[in-house]
Amino acid sequence: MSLVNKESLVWNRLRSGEESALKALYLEFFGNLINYGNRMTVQHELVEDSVQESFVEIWRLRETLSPTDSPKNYLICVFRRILIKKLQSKKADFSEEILLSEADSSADFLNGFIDLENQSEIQKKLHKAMDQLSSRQKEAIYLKFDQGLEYEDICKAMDLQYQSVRNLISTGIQRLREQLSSWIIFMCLLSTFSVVSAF
Amino acid sequence: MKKNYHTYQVSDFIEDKDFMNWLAHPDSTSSKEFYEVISSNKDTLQKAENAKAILLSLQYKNLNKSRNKDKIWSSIQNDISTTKGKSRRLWPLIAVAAASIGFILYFTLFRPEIIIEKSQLAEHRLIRLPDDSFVTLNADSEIQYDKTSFAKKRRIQLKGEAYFQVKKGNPFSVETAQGEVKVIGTSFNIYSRNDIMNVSCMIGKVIVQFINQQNAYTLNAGMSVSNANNTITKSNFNIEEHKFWRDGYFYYNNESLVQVMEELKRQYNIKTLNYTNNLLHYKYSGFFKKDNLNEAIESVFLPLKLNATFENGILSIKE
Repeated sequence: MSLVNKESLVWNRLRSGEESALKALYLEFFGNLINYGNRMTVQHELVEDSVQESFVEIWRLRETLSPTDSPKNYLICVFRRILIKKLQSKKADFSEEILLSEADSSADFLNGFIDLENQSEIQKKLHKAMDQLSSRQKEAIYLKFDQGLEYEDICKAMDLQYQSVRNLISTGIQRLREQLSSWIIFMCLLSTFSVVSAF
Repeated sequence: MKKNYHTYQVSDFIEDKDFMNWLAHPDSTSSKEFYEVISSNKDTLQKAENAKAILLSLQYKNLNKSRNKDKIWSSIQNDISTTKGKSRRLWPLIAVAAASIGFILYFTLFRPEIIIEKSQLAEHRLIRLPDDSFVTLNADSEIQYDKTSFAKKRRIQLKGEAYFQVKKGNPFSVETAQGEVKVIGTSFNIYSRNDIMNVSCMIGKVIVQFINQQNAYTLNAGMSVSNANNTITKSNFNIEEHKFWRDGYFYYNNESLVQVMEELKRQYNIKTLNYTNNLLHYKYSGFFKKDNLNEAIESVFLPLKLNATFENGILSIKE
């Protein structure tokens, strides 16, 4: 909690025009934005350019910014908007051929989970189930559970209604739950079977 | 805890803040409370464990592949300075000269000089600020301010608890981890520890802005505001009768016993508190004094019918 609070004080310093506050936000959230961007597209230069523009933009608008307890949420919104705009205009420049392959890579949100060496079967199953979710579901779940955004902030970032964000996340979680419960039933059967066969 | 976890489904847990807190900080007191509640029912515990398994499988890889963190920052700085409209290229010499003069000025006149004042356990300290305002630090507390800019902007960071007697003048503000208190010239007390902030105004007027809250709270003399128990409560007190920690009195009105014990620990420099989790839900109303430990222990634990023993710097409390 105290971290978040520190951030909102930094945000206030930015609003009053302190460049050091901008740098503090940059150092703190650079990784978050790059991480997020690299899941949206494989064109890493576009991601870096968008990060740069995001910070220039909040500096330009510093006097009109309102107080927030999470500068990160604000940055994520601005960053996503800029990146998507870049991806769209880039697509328009290309020939149809490239456009098709581009459309694929940028329309599919990359989960990119940690592959633990001794990954359990159930984890593999859950990851597989996660990869089958729609791109928007993946993005919403990523924003909620990796970046720690609240529903309201995901709405703002993804430009969606509150209910649709909830639906995206809860149907996603529902799928994972189905995987998990079938696994648990399977394990129960297996253990009863081995007990029976031991006799 | 008001929530009925026994009706929760797996997805309800995933959306629950206390549940997330339990995953993130399993050893915190609130997590222990949470676990106690859910483990009282086998079914509930199973659902929570399932939710935990799902969330633990969602560990995202770090895709921060960029090695250009410094390069991008210099581009940002470049962009920012061109929006400021400086045309350095035309006057490189002047720019260099101005920059070095600025540099020298900055390091001689305007360099921030951060002053930190701390109090030890069991110690109260009176501190005089550059503007002749006074701060009394309660035990184990700290203030920090920039001496250079203090004449213009009276801004102080506080950890712990302190009583302020502010001289009239420029705006005076105190920042804590929970929010900000703005003053015009007055006396007031701020308690800011473990996510709780409590502000009492004795003379004049203060404005309290909690972080995470849209509204600011204006306090006149004899009013206090607190964010304990996750709700903002404004209340009145009688200034004449009210004695504070500065006089050696510590008052509580239906506040968590843990908070009271922590204060005892600070005031009497007790090494260790030894108590079980079932004391977490106890509330205390009353006061203790700073002059006699045995009396203080009696006045806190006797009314609650708790058994307290103090030996070798360890205070043990039992039901």
